[in-house]
Amino acid sequence: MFIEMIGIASLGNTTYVIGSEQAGQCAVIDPVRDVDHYIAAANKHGVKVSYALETHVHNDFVSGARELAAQTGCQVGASASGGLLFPSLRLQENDDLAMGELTLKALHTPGHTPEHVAYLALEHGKPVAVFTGGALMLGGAARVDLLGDRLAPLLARWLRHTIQDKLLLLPDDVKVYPTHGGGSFCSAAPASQGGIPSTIGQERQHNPFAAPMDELEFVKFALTGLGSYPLYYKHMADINRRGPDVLGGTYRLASLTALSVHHQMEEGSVLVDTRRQLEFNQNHIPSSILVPLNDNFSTWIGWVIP
Amino acid sequence: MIFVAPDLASHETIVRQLIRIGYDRLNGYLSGGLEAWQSAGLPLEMSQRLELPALRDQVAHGQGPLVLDVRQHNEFRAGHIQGSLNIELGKLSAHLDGLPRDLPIVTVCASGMRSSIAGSILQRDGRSNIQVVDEMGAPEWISRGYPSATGDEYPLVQRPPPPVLGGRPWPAPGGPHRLSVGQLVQGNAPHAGQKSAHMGKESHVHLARKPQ
Repeated sequence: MFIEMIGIASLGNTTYVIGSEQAGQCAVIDPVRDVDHYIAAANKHGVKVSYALETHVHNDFVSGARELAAQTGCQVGASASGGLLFPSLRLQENDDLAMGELTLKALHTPGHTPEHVAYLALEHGKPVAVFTGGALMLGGAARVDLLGDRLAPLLARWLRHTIQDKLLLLPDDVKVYPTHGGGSFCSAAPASQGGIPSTIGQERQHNPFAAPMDELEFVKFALTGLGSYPLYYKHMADINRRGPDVLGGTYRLASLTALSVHHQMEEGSVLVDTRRQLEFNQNHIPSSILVPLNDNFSTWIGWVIP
Repeated sequence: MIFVAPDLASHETIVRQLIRIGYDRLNGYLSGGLEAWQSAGLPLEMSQRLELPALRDQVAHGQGPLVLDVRQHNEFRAGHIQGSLNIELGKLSAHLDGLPRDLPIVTVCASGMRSSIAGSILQRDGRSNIQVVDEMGAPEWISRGYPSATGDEYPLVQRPPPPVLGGRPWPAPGGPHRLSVGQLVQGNAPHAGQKSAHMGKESHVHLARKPQ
């Protein structure tokens, strides 16, 4: 069995490639749309991609599961109650995906979203790792308010049930691989970004969401201190449910002359200047918007460009 | 969307980061950068930059500018320039109509990046009386012992919760019926033919618990 972690710094997330070299198969958990890294990881281990698995209907990015399916022929697997509108394995509680000595078992883990699932990895039947999405992060859990403030208290109650009555019942040495990290706006608390994987035992000891709390205390805790999140989030779940367009790979930006850019700006195109702020402030094109190219680039694009 | 971006490696990063959040149609980049722009006889402009001591002098002598702090609200509450106004950068575009055009505005944040982005948005809005603190910001102001405050200096408007994120056409045309939250809570049987839209039975038993 092997596990490859592929960090997506621009989202504060991590994608996982887990597979069996004996079986020649792997699954990719919570892929983004530039899927070449996953295909390279599968090739490195000499396996084919059998599954693109979603832990939940994402609010913070466009899923790459459909892209990966189009490029590799793998199957998309997602929570049955997520209501995906394109062909996928509709996974329910305790559904198993077998890849040689490795089995991935779907666990319904509502909280961050209602349909959320975690994937428990068993090696020869022994639980060794759990891919928790946003249900349990390193020192935190994903926020429950992204689907509306009215639902948030209900989702918080489910999150408590998920963490305390399901995930913490796993053996202490089971490794914890969350999708959301501290850099994600899906994070409810400042969770640590490094240190993946943690273990169930470590989270039981150190994660404030794992502390013994009655339901009311937990709900209050889960709803406190939540900041704002990028505006683009509001479009993501709908795109992910309907099925994102397949790109067939990343592409190159077209080269445009100054006069063409000028013309397109007059027609309403936005010019984004990706240089550092000090360069921009010294000299820039009138009406251009500054968004420096760093790990937060897409977050700010999605937040400030209507 | 068109980009001013220095090199090919940055183009790849731009495309990767943006397709991840659904920007599939990016127009391209300005070939030759600002030099090409100037060579075509097109104008450039600059932003007015301001350093913290100069801002302190302006504030201290009254009739100062409107100090606009564009950090996240929780950062603002932890400590900010006394008398400054907090509008998160992500919400600035929605507040442009309410920001007076005859009052000079100084944008600040923590490091100078968000304040510079804010400056570009305000300049694009046709304002010429914008100054940008583009090196350091509120935390440095506080550590220098300049006048600061914590929390919200004045009460905020209290409102019911905002509308639901991801509002979409309802019912979803042609899509499978999905369980409502009520059905999940009560553990109701799904409608005929809807079994596939149902989670395992075990979770319903637990989820049906009443608050204690």
